[in-house]
Amino acid sequence: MSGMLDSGTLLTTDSGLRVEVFDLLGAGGQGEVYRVRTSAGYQALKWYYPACATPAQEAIVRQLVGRGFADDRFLWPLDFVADARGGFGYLMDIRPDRFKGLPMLFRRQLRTSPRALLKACLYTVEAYQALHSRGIAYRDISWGNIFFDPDTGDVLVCDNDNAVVEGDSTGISGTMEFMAPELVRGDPGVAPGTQSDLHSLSVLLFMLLMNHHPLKGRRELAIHCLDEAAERKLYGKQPLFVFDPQDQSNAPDPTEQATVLATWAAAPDSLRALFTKNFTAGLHDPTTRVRESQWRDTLRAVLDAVVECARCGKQNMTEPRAADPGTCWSCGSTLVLPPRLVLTTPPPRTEHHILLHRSSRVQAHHLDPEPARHDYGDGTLVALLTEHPQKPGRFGLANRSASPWTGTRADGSTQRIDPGQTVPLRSGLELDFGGARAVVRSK
Amino acid sequence: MSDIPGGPMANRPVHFIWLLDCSYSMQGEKIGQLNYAIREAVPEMRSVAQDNPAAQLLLRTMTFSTTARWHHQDPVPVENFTWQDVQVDGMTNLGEALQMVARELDTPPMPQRALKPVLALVSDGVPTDDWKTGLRAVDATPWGRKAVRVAIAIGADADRTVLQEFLGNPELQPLDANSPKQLAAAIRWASTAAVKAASQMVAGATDPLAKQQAYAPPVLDDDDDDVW
Repeated sequence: MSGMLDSGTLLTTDSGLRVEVFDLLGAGGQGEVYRVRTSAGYQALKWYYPACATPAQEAIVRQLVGRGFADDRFLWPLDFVADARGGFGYLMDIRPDRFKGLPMLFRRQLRTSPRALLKACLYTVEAYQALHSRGIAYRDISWGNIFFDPDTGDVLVCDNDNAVVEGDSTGISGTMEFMAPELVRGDPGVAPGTQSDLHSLSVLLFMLLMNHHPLKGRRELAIHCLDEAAERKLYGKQPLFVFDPQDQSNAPDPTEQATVLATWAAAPDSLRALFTKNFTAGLHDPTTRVRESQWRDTLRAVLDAVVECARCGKQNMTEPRAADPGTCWSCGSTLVLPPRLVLTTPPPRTEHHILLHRSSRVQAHHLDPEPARHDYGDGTLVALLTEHPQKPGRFGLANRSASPWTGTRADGSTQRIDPGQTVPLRSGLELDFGGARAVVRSK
Repeated sequence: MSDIPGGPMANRPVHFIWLLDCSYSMQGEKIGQLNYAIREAVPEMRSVAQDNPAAQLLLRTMTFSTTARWHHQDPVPVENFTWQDVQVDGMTNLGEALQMVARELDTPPMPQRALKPVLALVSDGVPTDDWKTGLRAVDATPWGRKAVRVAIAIGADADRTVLQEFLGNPELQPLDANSPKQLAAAIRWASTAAVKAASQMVAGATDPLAKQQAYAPPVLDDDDDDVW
């Protein structure tokens, strides 16, 4: 495969780094991506097609490089590179292999779990929130530029070269199915920005969890050729949510669109409510769109409420704090609610209900009333539910933090749980994690 | 049994038809270059199809010379598509080829639901039959009217007016392929950009191939060391 740059081509970045083109990794809508050798090892070089190598694009890339964004969730433009013939691009890190494209998920070609998907959603929300809170609009949120690790849910946002400071009118229009209706229609005075990003983000979350587009119901099936005019109608002129409670005329077809019926049935009410709000009122009034903080709070609560089906072992999302967990999406058995850890953070107090399945975890963010970021990795593990090594069936909470906890039994007696020690699970056991407090409840 | 609810995402087919000129004027290096260019483009077509789960890319090839014939009669999913070299013979009966394509663009044999089909014409010469009637037959079918069209002119003697008329849009230009490198780039671009245009609509473009600059093919410095 040959591209615009030949192997062996030597280029120099703005900061003086020498770059040697090694091979072509892939091509996208705006340019090609090469693996290049630098003194820092292998990196990636995005090189724009001549038609896309415009002064406006150069200005965006230079601004992004200059802004810098040291955040491991983004493959950010690191350095500007130009040749002597008017071509240019930028240097970035290479995407590690563990991150997979969403098309593989949508085709069900990889193994993942509801917990990993919920984490991927939460991390995606927080990644865009990190941009938006700095006044940067991404403007091209779609399945093509986010990658995820199917085991951990970690996400990596790529193709950040359309992100601009809010209010900058530099135009790319984006893929229609992810665009806010007012942009699809081309309403006067409307430009892509953080408010329209919120629509795109909700579409992406819906696709991650439901494996379907939120506006593709019977109306889409009635279209023979899904061309621009048809898409403009579906996504812009007459958008209608497939689960709109007031208007069922775009409801999914039970045969042709069975996937979304199955995934929606497996979703808890609080998530459905956010999607419904976003894709009913939010379609027509951008100010009512679900904000990142609402997604974040709901997703993390649902994540704490995932239970394994006692019969088949599949993970099920349940409604946080609900008394009735419903039935398993896979085998149909009635789900059984396990005991829970009710955790209260220091002021401003936030309460978390963590259902205690066989490998439940308490993470640092559970103890923080306003965590800047959620992280379910081992580096932030505080407590881990573990089985007694000699007494199968007996479980306890292992202290994986660096400081001791104080436990208070139901009879008022206290005990100290040092790092590495495990306290047996008992109903009414109270734990002081050093600020945050928790109590074990059987229901 | 899957660990997550729901089956694969629903998709629609994209029917992609190569129309390849195999007249005598293509004899020698040209046909070899064409075979090579398409062979090279297949992995990229797979990659662009893989990146778009809402589309299923189905390929067919028609060659035209003294007669027009299907090189692949039935649509082949891109994952299973293998290229067999085409050979040259005889005249340039583009009209017959277009008539045969038009028959495939009726419903049925086209399904009730699909994305826009893609018609990619590659030619080096002047048609020797009534190609205008053939083109009208394509334009008379609902899917033919909607089709994304790309045209590649091989060599300086190609009849660009015919290709321009095939495109049916003054904003679109046939791609010139005057060297093996240009041909490979043009075929690669046609195979990927046209599929994207058929399956990923971009707002603000009435004809995605015309106005969406992002799909414009790379302009090459033609500095390869071919001997002419």
